Amino acid sequence: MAATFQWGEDNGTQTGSPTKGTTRTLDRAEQNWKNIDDSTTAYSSSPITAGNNSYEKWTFGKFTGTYNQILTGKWAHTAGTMGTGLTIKGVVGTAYTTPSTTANANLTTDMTSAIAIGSGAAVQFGATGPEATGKAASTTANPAYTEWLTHQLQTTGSANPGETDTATMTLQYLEN
Amino acid sequence: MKTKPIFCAHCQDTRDQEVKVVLEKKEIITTCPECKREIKFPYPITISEFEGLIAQHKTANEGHDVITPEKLAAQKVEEQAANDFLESL
Repeated sequence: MAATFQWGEDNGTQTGSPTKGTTRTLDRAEQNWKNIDDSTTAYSSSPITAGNNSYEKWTFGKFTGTYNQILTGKWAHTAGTMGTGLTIKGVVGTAYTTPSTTANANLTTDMTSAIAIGSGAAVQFGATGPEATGKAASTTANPAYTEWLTHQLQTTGSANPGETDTATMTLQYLEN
Repeated sequence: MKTKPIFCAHCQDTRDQEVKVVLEKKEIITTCPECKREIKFPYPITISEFEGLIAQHKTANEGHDVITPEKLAAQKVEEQAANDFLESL
């Protein structure tokens, strides 16, 4: 038996303490950068105009199924080439804030270039949800969640029209 | 053109990057002279706050093992060699 993994995403106004979004969707197959804060609108219906930024994507990983421990998390952009005027910024583990299109200075990691997952950002795990405190490098909680994995596409006026290349965002973890 | 030494996550080096302020967006945009990748910082901020964000940016991005086209090509050659080996068994 093994752990079952799924990507999740929160959207909407921050609520609660610790903060989280008003809407949570799981089993995500994509994390599209858009000019709208939701997980349902097609990216083609809410494109980002060159010079503007996407709404931040507040994503996380959820683990269920059969396992003893989840540990040693790494998160990175591992494949796909971003064109001129496109910058992916991200951060692990900051508190949820209502998504906006402002260039978020808390997103300190420049994820524009694909990197080897081994040099990705360290990710911690814990119970209850990505918003919960007490995350650690390993967890025996089931279900278990990662910290918030937040990213945003920032563009300048030099960005070309049309779709961006697909970026592969990888979460690597060990289970036993 | 104003420049400032800023670490580039793609080049993995500090270079004199062009610094522009885009008032209507309330953003500072810096451009690496080598790879042309851009970074946004919020504006208005003080010089010391800008320096702090630049330092934070370096700390967060130094040491990334960037997958360059050369590395990707070398990886594909290795994968092909491994496949060829298995095929020949």
